[in-house]
Amino acid sequence: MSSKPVDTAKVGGIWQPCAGSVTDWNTHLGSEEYPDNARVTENAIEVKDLKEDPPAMARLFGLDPATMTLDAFRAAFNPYKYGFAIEVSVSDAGDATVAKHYAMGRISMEMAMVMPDKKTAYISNDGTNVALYRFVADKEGDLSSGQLFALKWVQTSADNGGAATVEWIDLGHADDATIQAGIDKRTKFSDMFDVAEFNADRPCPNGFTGSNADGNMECLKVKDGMDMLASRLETTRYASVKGATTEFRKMEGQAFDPATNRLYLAMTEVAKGMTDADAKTDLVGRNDVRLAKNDCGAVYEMQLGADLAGTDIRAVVTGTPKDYAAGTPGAGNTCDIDGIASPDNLTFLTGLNTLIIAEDTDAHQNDVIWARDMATGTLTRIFSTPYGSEATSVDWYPDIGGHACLMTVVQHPYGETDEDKLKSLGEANAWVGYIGPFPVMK
Amino acid sequence: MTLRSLLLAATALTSLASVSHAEAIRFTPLPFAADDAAKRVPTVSASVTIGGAAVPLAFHAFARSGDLHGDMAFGQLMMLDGTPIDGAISNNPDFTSLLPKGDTLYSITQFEDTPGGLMISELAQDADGKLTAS
Repeated sequence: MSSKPVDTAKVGGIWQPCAGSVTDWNTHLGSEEYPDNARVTENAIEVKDLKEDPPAMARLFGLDPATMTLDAFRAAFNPYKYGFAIEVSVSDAGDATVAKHYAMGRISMEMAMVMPDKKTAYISNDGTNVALYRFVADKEGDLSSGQLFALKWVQTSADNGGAATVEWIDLGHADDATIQAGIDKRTKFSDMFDVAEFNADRPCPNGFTGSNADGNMECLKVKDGMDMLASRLETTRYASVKGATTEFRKMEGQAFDPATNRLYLAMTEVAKGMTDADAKTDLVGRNDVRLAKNDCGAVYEMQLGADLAGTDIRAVVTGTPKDYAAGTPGAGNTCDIDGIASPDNLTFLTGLNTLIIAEDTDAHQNDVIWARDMATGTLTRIFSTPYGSEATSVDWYPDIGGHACLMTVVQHPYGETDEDKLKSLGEANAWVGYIGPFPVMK
Repeated sequence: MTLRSLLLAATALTSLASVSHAEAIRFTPLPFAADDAAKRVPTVSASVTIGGAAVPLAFHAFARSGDLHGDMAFGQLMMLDGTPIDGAISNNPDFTSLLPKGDTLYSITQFEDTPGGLMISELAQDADGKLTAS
């Protein structure tokens, strides 16, 4: 194997790429998670006013986070360059080129996944107070322009993870070039939005709308003529202003079953904005999602219509909180060890009616991967990671050179928990590989 | 045959067709990692049965962060100008794709860091399907 870095200079570098998918036209579709809160960076007076991640990003530009001035950092770093879908194409000669799809919106992007029509993409959104997006490209196989929609949850049941009918809020049309021009002009948060303080009893002053986005509760007003840029540079804030449901909590990976036309969506936990009228994360007067808290998370199933727009959504797998006494084999786990905890990445074994669920959790000491038989509901543990890891990148390839394989990455062993268990440095190195080979599936 | 039994027969046929449409798959359950040895390593179901035939399974890593498979360590984070960032080898590979191009199998790995990393790898596949160093 030979490996080399891919040049990302053309798009100004990349930020925290997380999950992804492979498009039908054989490109790598990645994502940029937890982008900077541009309002905070715009209002900073000193470097110490920045949030935690931007100074680390300074290294991209050759700046030293410890000694740089805020002016030097701001000159190099434009927060609106990051938070997008990243498409990597590889030529027959093996040259990789990177594009960012500004038209798909700027969010804490977990994953974008293109549907069989080669135009519709579902975009999941990690964090607190986040949404689910549906992008419809103008042309097949070309994500550079299209219409963006955000889901509105109209709750029909609060039982066991809940259920809802789905409405779609139209966030308008845009193309990469127009949005990129707005970024390159150094459009700022304050160019797109006016901000007001909440009234004492919480509603916003006249002319302003409450926005609950990425954990920020704000009274916002989109400035005249700035709707398109606001919809793609401050997508979650804009979606919230427009009435979409921005109450989901750590929305993660996705999978699609073409046989049933159903999309699967992981939620690390049912918490914060997803509970009923949470004081911090449910704006008064909205509160679309009203569910019992479940720290072990859930996987949702959304039925799509013939046009590939979701119509109904419900939880199909939920984890179960459980106490294990110290000294027993399950000690250190806070979710039932025979069920899911904090589901993250998903993939569907097409033609085999099986959903693969990978965990990123501190509620199971060792994060595992499950296979769920969709006919019987049986969960089978199929993979277990070392201390402190998360199991990620699960993706099913039915035919790679006459064999099927399940891509699997073990990220940051001994990293997020159990650091003290590390005996030698090499043990902590991540693993990139696959489970298999399986017989070819055609 | 009554209309009712005709309808029932048709229903039975339909459901049989939908059962055979999805092939049966069964993973050998992997036991819960109960002791320190099992908690230290990646472990996988011993086998999977698809369409009645059992095949052994393994987890094959074709790269680990820090490995040298070229001029740069796997996970090396870079500056915009193409210079490696001193001491910045990411241990956070996330989504890794496989992109076959003709007879060549490429893989793109993205590293979940600030700044983010992106690497392209060229893989080889042996006759048994195993992906290895080319």
